[in-house]
Amino acid sequence: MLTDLLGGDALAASLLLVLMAGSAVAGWSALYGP
Amino acid sequence: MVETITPVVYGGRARWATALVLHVAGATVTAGLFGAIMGAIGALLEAPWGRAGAGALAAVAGVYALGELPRVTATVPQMRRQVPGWWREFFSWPIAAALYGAGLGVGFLTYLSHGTLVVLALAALASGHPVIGALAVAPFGLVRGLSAARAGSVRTHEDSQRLVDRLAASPERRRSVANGVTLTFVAVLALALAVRSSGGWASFATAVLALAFGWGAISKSSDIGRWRRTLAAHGLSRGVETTATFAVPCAEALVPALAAAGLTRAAGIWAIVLLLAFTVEAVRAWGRFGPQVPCGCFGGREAVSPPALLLRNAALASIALAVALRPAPEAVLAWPGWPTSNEILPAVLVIVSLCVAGFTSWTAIRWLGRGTPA
Repeated sequence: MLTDLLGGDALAASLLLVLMAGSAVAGWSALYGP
Repeated sequence: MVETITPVVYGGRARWATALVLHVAGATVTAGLFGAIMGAIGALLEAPWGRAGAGALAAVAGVYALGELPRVTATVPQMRRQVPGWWREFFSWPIAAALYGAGLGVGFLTYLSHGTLVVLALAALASGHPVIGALAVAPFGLVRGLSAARAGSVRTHEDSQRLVDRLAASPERRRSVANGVTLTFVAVLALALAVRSSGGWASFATAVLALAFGWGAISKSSDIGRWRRTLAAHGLSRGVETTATFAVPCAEALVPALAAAGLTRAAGIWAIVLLLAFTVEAVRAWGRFGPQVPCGCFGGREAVSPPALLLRNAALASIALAVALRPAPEAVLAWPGWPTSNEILPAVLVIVSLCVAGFTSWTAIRWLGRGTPA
């Protein structure tokens, strides 16, 4: 589905997946802030 | 923050579970919306920007990955606000839970210890696609909202305080490693994308210029009191000061508007004119009051050292010159033409509705952001 959204580009889809993972990591890290 | 979504606050686990769902939904929606808006702004500014855009993403991700190393610091832009406590007393509990989530979804409004969200925002912008932007940023809100589930075992106010203390005391290292590894992966993949892509330099330069001036206009108009204080420090005459209060943000906002309309030559020349005027005024104020005079350029309160300000303005002027000399792109925003006689009434209704919606949203955001109930 991600590659379809990105015009069949596997590299761009991989980047988007890593960004989504990073997004989740950032959300988890924010729990420890004030 | 986690102490606001606990069973003890919501009077039992059943209510707390519903509040948690609403909290997660609020955080996910606003985070996704923020990503979508960034993607839409990117689309207005000709994103994706080919090699230039992917290269910039790789560079920023690399800088923030290095910032996760011990004894290395990378500044993370953030407003350090906390969601107002009065929401819980003023609104019904389901609305308060959703609002608390919504307030956390746009992470820049709150506290941020890592630069990952900056990279995500840049990636959403560089994608030039609202759906991709939403997909990239929504997990931030989802996980940030879900993190409140940690408070599920809280039974008393003392438990709640102990949980807050435990979270605050937990070592930073694990989070630095997780953010650093993810950012390194982003940098590597973005670099591979940059190597494979080509061009995009002119449109990227236009976007940088439009964003810089757009940010200048927004930061001044969103905190007009601070902008007024900055102007007062310049010792201008009363008339000039009053005019500049509104004219400068409007003049700055014209740069992104011209760029989005495809009038890049006009945007570049206008930016150079503004930079010249700002530089002349800064030099005059330094000559009269010394280098401690704040420039107020991007909403900052601090004075910028004269060499740093001159260097920054020279760099922006070089970008503006490149934008003025590039071939004009196709306009993303175009004036649709004057309405015909039977289109005048619908056009007026749409414009009035947009103004009312904009004013209502602005008033609601200001009111919700207050520290005490109105």
